[in-house]
Amino acid sequence: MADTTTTTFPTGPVVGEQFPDFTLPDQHGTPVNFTAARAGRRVMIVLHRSASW
Amino acid sequence: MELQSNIAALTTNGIAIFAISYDPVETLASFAAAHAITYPLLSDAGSVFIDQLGIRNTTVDPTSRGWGIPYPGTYFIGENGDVTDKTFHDGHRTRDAAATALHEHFGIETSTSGSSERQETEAFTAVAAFDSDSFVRGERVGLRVILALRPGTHLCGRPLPEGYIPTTLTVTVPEPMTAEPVQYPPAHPMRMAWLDEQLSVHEGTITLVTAVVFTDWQEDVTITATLDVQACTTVECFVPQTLTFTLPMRFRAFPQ
Repeated sequence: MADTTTTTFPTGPVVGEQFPDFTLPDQHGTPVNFTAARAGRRVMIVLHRSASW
Repeated sequence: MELQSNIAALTTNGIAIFAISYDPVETLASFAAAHAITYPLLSDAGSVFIDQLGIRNTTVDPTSRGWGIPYPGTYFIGENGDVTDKTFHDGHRTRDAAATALHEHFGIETSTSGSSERQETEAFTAVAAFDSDSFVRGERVGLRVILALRPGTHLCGRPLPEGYIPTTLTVTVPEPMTAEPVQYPPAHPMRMAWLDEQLSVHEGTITLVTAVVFTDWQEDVTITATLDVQACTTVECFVPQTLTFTLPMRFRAFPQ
């Protein structure tokens, strides 16, 4: 399916590019490494504004 | 996104989900507890990864609490780690419903819990269904009408000679909400011996696809979808019909 992005602002990694690896703590404080955690699975990564407002 | 309610479908289909925000772990912990979130909410406190992606929302006042938030969007990553799709919308309040995103980007049917109505005629059964039974302000929710035609019957498609009614779905929404143009499957030509005419027809099971954007809407709302059709068999065409589907949608204050 085509890239459905229609924006006038930067949207980061482009379609076809490798998504950068990262390690961030989850809600339990446990570090989550992207590559290890996805374990070869497809992924949906959602960028949120804030959980508190 | 009603992601939590789609976790089972995600797991079944081998899809991992990560949500990222600039909130500290403690904020995410209380949010996850309050809303029974089980998927990973990742803390990018300081917005380091958000900056690495280059998607810090620079329209935000740097002195406000919002400084450091990303532009709202979703990345879809393939098994090899490449970005296969991404969805960012202009207008900070627009976001695809989770079920809609999963359907459009991964081809997954997530649930049967969307607001829907089923109708039956002598030629077909029709189900109009949203991907969800609820929405948050500004959310984009997919709406599909699936028509299952009885064997030997077909519906008029496009193009058509004068005098016939092509299959047409009309979704009526109050302003400032919007309904996207309806996507129709391709019709194929069929020679009607008894008419001595060639019509464009749909056969079997077809799906009409659209989506509604709940722009600035903050209360429950009922969406009306109207289907105009003319069904034919190889020996006759039925009188054109209009079916009206009434689809109640519930407003949710919280995104998850």
